Amino acid sequence: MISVWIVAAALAATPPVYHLWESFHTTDGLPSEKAFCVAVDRDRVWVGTDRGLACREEGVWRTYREAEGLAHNAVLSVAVDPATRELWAGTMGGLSRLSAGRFTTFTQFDSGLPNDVVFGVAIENQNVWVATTVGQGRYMVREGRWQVYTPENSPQHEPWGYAVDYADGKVWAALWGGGVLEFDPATEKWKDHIDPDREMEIDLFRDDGLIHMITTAVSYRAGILWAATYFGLSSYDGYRWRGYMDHDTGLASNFINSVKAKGRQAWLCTDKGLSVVDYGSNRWVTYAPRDDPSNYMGPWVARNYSEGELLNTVALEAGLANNFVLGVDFHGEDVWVATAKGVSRGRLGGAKSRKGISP
Amino acid sequence: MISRTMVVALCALSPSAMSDDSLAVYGNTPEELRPFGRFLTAPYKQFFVEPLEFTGPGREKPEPKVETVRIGVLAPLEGSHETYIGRDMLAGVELAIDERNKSGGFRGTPFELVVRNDTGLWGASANEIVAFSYEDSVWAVIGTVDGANTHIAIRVALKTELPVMNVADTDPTLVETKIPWIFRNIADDRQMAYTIAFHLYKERSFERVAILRADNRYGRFGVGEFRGGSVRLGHPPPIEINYEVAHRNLNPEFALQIERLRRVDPDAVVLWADAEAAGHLVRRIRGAGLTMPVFACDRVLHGSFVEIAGDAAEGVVAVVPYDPSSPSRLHEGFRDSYRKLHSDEPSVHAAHSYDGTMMVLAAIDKAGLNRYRIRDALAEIDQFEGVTGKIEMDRVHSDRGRVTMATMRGGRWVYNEPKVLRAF
Repeated sequence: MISVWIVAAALAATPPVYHLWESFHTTDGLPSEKAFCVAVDRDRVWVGTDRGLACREEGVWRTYREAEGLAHNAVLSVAVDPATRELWAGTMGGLSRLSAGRFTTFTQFDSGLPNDVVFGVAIENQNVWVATTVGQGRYMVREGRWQVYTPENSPQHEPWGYAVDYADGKVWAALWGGGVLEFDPATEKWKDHIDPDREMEIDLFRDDGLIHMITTAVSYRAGILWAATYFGLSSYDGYRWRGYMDHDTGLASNFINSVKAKGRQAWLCTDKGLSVVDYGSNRWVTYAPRDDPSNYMGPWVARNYSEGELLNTVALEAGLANNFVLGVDFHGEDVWVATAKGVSRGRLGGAKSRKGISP
Repeated sequence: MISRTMVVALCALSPSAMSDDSLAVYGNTPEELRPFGRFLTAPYKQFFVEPLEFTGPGREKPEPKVETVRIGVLAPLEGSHETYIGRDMLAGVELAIDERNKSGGFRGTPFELVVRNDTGLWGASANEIVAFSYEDSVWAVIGTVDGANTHIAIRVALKTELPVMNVADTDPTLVETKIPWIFRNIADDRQMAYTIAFHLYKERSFERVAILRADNRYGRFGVGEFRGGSVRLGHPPPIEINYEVAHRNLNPEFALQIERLRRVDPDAVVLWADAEAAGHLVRRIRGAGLTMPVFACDRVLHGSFVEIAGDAAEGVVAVVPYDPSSPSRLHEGFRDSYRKLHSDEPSVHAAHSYDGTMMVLAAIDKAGLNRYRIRDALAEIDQFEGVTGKIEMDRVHSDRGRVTMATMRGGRWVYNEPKVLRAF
């Protein structure tokens, strides 16, 4: 009976394999093949591309560009306020808010936005956080007031923001060269998490803390902090740090563009495919081209790993739009993925795959 | 002399010892200076010893028809304490472009420079890379100088997928980011710091070496490897003194810095400063009667250092990314052309800019007008014979050619003096 329970628990902690993938391209209505980010708002899917902001609703793609009031056509980050459904887009030319069909733009010339290149955006209560290339900003929407965080007022040695997330009452910021910052809005206090060895060219011990000072993304869910770097992945549950690299786990690549957690599982967007890991079991599923990881034309496979051991490989009839994955978000059980050459949707289903729309 | 038979036998006995893979050790780091090397045989993971890849799409994009082939230049050209570097940089780039245009440009299409200043707004280098990418449609960028500005720029270049050739930022961390779009053709402060540390502690047997540096990222990261190396070699610096970058307004006499040096009375001083500030500092040091040897970074190789320091510059030793006195037809031709245009000797930065531009143009020749293939062509360069000598690129696309030293004698730099037994 106990063994049955153990098997059941292990299965429950194993990320499921998404067999059904379909992809969307400019031929389907996307403004560009290059998608930097994706965010799901109920039945709308927002995609930031290098040529505009796209929205899919009821199966139809619509594009917003500078002509419609968007700050810049290159959209690096998107967040939707769950209370107001206002959309906030971090672009390469400022921050844009889409509310009631109209854009309002904030730039470093006309607001407290630290810099016009906005890599990350997140909603915290009635406030909007931005990670810009030179500073974190907090826009207090109701007051119309900005607070900017730099080395002068927070524990960072350079103000190089790269990503920001909000969950469970804390703001988390990934800093280029500064590790991860944690901000408690209730106390307005900062705390930093840095690489204990402080050396750029090594990771001294696997599980001693952050893998590297250069962090690229951060996601906090279910009490677990996930920090992505171009050197691997780190997790922290409040007691224990753990490091993950491509040689000791099922991680597709150490070059992780972004991370997004769902429950106790983290989805990793890498330059060689998409990985998902379960925190408790350290079981992995990685979606990547079968042979050459940069040959996105496939064929694609899903590989199942336990710790670093490959358990099995599942052939997919259709894979992701591209191996260079930049963003991920969830719509119920569905997963939406932004890649450097199109957008993909993964769905759970039987082992029999449905052919996706080919690139 | 070791015979070929002997070499074969040695190889058979110890193949790894005879390995020629010099890139297996990142940054030419000697065993004694490996981080935590005294305590661990190896870290869990050593980075930067494997080739950087770009695995994204883009190589398939067709070449457009263009009227000019645009190259961006990002540099501190006004409003910065580093304009003396930025202007030399631009001069080197312009000379290279002029020469190439006279010989036909790119398949008959001329190259055109698009020049932007990196020190305007807060974080200007990010905004300028956006403009280079989306407004100017350049094929590559040469730049920039300041470590912070370059770090800001390369993250945007990663997103817009634009090759960046750096020719003047010696911050070691610039290439320690795994961004596959950044290249650097000048030796960094890691190599320079190792060379000074070995010379001071191993060859000169100094024990107490003070650090005097700019209070900015250049100073902080410039001496970082020297500070760490000193500790690892058993000689932690007795003091690290900062000076204000805006010294002219805040502290023109450097009184506090001089007093601290006097109190500590070190065996020598390592100076990481811009040329003008270094000139004032050395003049004040000698004016105060302090006679300890001064070992300085490569930025003192600019003419303004000698002009300001005057006789006090005598005997100052600088670490040098390349040796302009070594006989080379390439360098002589470059120097002659530069003198004709500017009535002056080319600086370290002008020479490296010229080479960096030539590397970019060679990559465009090979790859055509496609940023992804230009990146690949740059990444394929292991060695490049330039006016600065042989440029040896490592696996993170940074020049690891050996540096040297020069000593100020009678108002001129004498290269390869002192002769260092071990250069990095």
